[in-house]
Amino acid sequence: MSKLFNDLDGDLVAIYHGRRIFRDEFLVHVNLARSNLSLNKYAINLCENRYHFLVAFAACVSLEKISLFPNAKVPKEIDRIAKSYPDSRLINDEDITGLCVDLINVKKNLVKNFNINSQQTVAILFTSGTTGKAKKNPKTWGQLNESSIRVRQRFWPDGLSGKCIIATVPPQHMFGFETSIVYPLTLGIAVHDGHPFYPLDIQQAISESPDLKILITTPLHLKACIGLTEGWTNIDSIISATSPLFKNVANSAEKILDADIFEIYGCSESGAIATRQTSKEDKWKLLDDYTIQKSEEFFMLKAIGYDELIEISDKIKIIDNKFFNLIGRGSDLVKIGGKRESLSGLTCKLIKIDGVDDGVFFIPKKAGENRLRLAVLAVSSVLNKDEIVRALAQQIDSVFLPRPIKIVDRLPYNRLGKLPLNDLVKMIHSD
Amino acid sequence: MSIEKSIENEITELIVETLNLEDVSPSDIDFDEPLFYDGLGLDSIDSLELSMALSAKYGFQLKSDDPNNKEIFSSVRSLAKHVAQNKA
Repeated sequence: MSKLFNDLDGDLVAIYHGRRIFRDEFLVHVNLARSNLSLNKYAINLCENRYHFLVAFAACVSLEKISLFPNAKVPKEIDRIAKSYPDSRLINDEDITGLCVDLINVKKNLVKNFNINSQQTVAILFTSGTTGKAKKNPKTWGQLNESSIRVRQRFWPDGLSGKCIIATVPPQHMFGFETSIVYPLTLGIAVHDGHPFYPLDIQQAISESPDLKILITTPLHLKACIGLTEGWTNIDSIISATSPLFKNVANSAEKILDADIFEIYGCSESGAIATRQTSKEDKWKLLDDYTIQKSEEFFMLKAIGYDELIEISDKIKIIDNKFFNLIGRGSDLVKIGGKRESLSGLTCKLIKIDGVDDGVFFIPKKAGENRLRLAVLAVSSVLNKDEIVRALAQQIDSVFLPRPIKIVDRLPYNRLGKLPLNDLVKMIHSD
Repeated sequence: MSIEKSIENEITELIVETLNLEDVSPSDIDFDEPLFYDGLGLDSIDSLELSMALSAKYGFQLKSDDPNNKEIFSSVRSLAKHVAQNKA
């Protein structure tokens, strides 16, 4: 059992439209949201404003409702989840914004914190499974708390007082969810309500309050930030995840943004697993009390709060019981901009499109420091490239849409019925 | 050639080069075609990469809350107009 809102380190909760929201006001907003959300068992939280998302999520937790986070905010995926969970409702910004009123005099009788059972499932995150069917990743309140406490021990052992999170990643994927929604509740760190995108947006978000900022971001955003060499102040530290951060980018960004940059290694199944300061070390240090064991050819993680062992999808090398090296990413898993899909899952979606007879998603070349791009070869006698891309856009996030895509007569299967990558690459580049 | 015309050509090259549009050549790009979602089908990460290339080449930065963004990014022609007005 632990409190819904843990004000470990001061009582600032959020910067909302430039205004600082403190504990009591936040708890009133949560209380007001509760009465609006009381009917359904599940909630599909689609709020764009991060503070609205936080208020809606906290209200759902206090009501023992499960928040559902679609893998992609595209119509087909939202429909699919709504149909799989008939007792669910969508929550949008319009449902919350009217409740987040500026309270000059907070009525004490509306300020209520809640005790939450550790075993309570509070969220289900959906990730793309290998069969094209979404995989469920349920999270209990206890699991989220255990992980938060360990990340705090690692990065901020002296506390988080006077610090505020700014995130360039969406709140409905694991990295953004843990850092920008869970930590404000479990650790009492404040969060900025925006979703800054360009470097100037991040600078503006930083300037909106005097608090020291913790920037939650990705290697792509960091690369963009180092293109803007002036105007970076007030950053306490930076946390990057979702794809490997290169050392040269980490070095430059630490200098230009004048802050230490840490990376989190994690996945939707377990949340954060390990960390490192990229400019200083290659090896990853597991969160305290976490262990990885080798079982046959798989590496299995024992995370605190999880009964089952969790398979690590990437290739790693164990150094000792605290450290490991990341050798390579799992061949099927694709992560772009904080979003995750599997190639086999994407391929399933492709070949299920009416009019597509066969097809395959693949990675035509190593991304290096550039963003990863996916390619598609498709066999279809009735659809053209644009029609296939449009059909895909209905069900997958636009960052996974293929480029290039090519229509071919048949795929280059070898004698074993497999599709060797070299042959796929040759075919997509041939005239 | 007017300044905007030459910037239009530079931008189409920048788009193809920066975004590795392997199946598109600069001459294929229609100056009035939408850049995002339809048309060339660029996504949010493309816009971040393109903004980096634009700021490196022309010395100005983009902002999400610029009410003109939709207009600026609507086509190569409108992007070139914005670059011509704002380049350092």
